[in-house]
Amino acid sequence: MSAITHPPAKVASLKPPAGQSLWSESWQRLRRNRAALLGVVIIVINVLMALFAPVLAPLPYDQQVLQDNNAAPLWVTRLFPNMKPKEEGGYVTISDDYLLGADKLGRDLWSRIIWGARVSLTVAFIGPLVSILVGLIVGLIAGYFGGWLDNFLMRTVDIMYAFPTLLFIILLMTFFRTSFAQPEPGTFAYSLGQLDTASGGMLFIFIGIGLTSWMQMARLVRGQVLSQRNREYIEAAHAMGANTPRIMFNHILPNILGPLIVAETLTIPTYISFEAFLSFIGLGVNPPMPSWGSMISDGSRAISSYPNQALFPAIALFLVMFAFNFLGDGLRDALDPRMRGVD
Amino acid sequence: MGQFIFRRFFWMIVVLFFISIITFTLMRAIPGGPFSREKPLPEATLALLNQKYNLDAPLLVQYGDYIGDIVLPIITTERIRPSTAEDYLVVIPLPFIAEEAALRWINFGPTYGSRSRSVNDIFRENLPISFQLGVAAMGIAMAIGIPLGVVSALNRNTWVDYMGMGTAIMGVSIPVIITAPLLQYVFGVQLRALPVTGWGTIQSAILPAFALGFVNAALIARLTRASLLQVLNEDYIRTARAKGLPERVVITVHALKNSLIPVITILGPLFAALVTGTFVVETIFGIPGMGRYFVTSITGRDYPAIMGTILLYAFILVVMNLIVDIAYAWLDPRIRFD
Repeated sequence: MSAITHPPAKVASLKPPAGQSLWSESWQRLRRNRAALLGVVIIVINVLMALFAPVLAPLPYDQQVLQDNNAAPLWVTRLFPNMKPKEEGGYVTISDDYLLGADKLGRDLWSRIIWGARVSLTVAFIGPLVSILVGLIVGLIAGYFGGWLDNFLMRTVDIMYAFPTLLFIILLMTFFRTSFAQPEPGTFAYSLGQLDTASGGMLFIFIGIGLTSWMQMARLVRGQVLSQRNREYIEAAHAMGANTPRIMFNHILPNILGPLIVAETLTIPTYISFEAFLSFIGLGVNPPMPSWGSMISDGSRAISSYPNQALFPAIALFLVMFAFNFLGDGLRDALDPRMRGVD
Repeated sequence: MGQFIFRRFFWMIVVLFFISIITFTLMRAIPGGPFSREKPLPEATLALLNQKYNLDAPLLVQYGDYIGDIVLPIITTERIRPSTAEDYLVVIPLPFIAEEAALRWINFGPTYGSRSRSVNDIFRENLPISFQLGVAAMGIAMAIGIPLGVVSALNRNTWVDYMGMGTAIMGVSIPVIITAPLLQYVFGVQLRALPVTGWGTIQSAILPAFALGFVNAALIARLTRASLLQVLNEDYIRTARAKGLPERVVITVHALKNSLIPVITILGPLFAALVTGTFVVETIFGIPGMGRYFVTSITGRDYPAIMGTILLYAFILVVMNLIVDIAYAWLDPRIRFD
């Protein structure tokens, strides 16, 4: 019956009319969303900041000038009235060499914020990749093959879900950080440790994020695959002799990509705050590599005397997370207009 | 229904079993032991310590003993001298067997971090603090989130809605590690209205509870709004309006009740997340809850404390999820379990 009601299969050479594809239409919608555009602008600025950090940062991020510890420029002391300069009977050393002030080791806050963008943005872009990669594979297999494989994979997801994430990641990071600290040269552990050192400690953060965040993706992918698996176009692909990987990646994947992108964009802030949290408790990037999380952590210990040290990196972190949230919301509206205003 | 609960309960035990295995393996894979020091202890001391804490037994035996102590209730007929190794959370006196007889259950073992405390002691002292913080944060989240979501939904696509949802997006974007120092600065340093750190008074709980509750208020607000909007489009709302009910009654009696179902169902996991999420807040505000204890117990390879904390929190998580599933069925009779 279905053969009769079906429109004829599209011939490959038949091009869709220009500008009518799903993606370009979505792009049109996204461009009209001012909040999402603002998000894009903030993200682009941060990407540039991260890319050109060596040029943009006025001072090296690890240069310590001990006599300038906790120094601040005059305008910062005006912004935070309790930071009285020494000249006015207070305790703050005034130095205009530092745009936003210096931390307790005399390192320039502004330069460290610029360098810190690298960590946050790398996590923002690699985190989703890791989680998509694992989640996609698990979800595709579970959804497509079904049966005991589906059962097994989804029960694994259930178990991982019941893990208290924060506790698990603390345990995991401790395991990584100590197991790969001093391994034998030439072993796999050694090269992994070297790779991690080279990335400033970020490799293990990615692995940690990947291991704790793929479950949601896998569930989403599986659900999407289940909804597509019995559609007619899959039947058609089968009939034309397409093999399993081809159906999975060339036919199903493009059709479920929209929701995946939206879900991942909306999760990016979670990854960023994950990294910030790890750095905050000292399991994140290796010092002296700056991360906004570790800067906030250091700064919050001196919040009463030098609020600038915690608040400026906090603002940077806030702006980036805000931007990704706006972009994610905008993408959802653009890719799936039916969802507009519902959630 | 009974069968469903039974099945879920069984699955819950399986989950906890796997979690304990994964945690145990991972924990033991971390190099170094609880008694590794910069200057190594004499071998004889080390051997004695390992023997005392059962660390010289094969790993599988250690695991079995540990789980056995927690899961299996024992009946003792004699008085037990209080010690860190034999500290039971549940003690039910059984005077009809013998004078000192009691059923003892759930022993999480001694902690290596302190000679005079057991893991149960830590739970007794520190868990209530994290718990109180979680409850307070939850209260704040609901008190802000639900009204915000309702007001936004009722004023859909007006400036009220935009303001409300703008605040919500902001709330979701700000992680606790930003809110906390911000609140500390504004209310603790600038206004000097509330203490910056510490625990014990109501005042000292306000800032951490707000810092923790804010993010979740935003989540609840978004969910409430979405769900209320969906319900307002239902046919029975039109019917209610058509039969001339005042709008107030339509909203409160017909719409709100049903729209809160999805909200209530996320409260469980949210609460579990809050209780575990107190870790960051506890560090920033210097609160002596479970969070700070957990990080130090990992660095100190305090195996029973690590295991105990993870198992306890996993238990809270799965129980919350179970409660949610049951509540769901109870609230929405259309849902069937099979």
